[in-house]
Amino acid sequence: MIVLDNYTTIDEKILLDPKTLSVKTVDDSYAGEAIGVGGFAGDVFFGVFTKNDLLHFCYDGKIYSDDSDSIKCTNVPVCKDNRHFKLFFSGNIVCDISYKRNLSPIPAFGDDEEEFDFLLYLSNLLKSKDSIDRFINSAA
Amino acid sequence: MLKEVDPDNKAAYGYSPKKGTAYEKVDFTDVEAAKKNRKIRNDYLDGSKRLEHDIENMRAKGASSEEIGHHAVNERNLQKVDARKYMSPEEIKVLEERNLTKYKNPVGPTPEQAFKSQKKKLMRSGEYSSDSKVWDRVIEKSMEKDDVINTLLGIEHH
Repeated sequence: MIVLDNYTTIDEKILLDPKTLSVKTVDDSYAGEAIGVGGFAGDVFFGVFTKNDLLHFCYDGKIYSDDSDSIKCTNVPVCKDNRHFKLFFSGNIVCDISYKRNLSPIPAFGDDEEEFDFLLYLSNLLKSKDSIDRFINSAA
Repeated sequence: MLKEVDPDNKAAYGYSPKKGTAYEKVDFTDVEAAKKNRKIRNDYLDGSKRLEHDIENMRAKGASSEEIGHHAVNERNLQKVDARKYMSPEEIKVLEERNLTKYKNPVGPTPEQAFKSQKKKLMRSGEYSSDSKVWDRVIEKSMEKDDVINTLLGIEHH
């Protein structure tokens, strides 16, 4: 099993079966050490982990792998309700998805959009070769 | 002028958020809603001043970053509960659902959850150095300034 931290729910881990790519959530006290982080946008699962100095991205029943030189990630708001997340590995698009923004209806406290948006966090984690290298090295 | 806002004669306090910014979804031309948010924001900023004072006092008395972090997160949660008296049931429901999914608590993170969340983020970005620094980050996050929302709600920056 590949163990990931669950970004969407803080006190859980995600177990990713490398053969079937099925996922299940377990309590954070699960003994296995996380080698990456996963989360959900609606019901859709996304995960990233590092192994053999490569970054691996799991989405839609597939795992894509590449090094930090060849990864490009963008996430932009396309309207007040939606964002658009794109991830390229070696110039090929591996994820291209619009999803609903998770904004506070009450702006008075200020809003950290990333706190409740895994794909926004992921795009910041993968925003540059340097940040991807730091993520890969963090699990080394 | 801040890059996240545009002048807007129809807005309650003269500015609306630009497209793509965090507050784009909020209608700042709705005067009553803007007044309500201004009241909540002012209470929040008063709470920030009290919290800043608490932090200075606790530091002067030799409290650890962990002790101060606990206090900061708990105080912010109390403020969030207090602010809900101004909100509609629908607004409260949205806020509670977000927090229940993320923290299994309708108000927000416990100090331990805030610590865990920040520690994991710092580790993944290669910036983790010590637990004490993580608590310092928790304290910083609880005191973050947001001049954009102050401008949109007609509150002078401090």
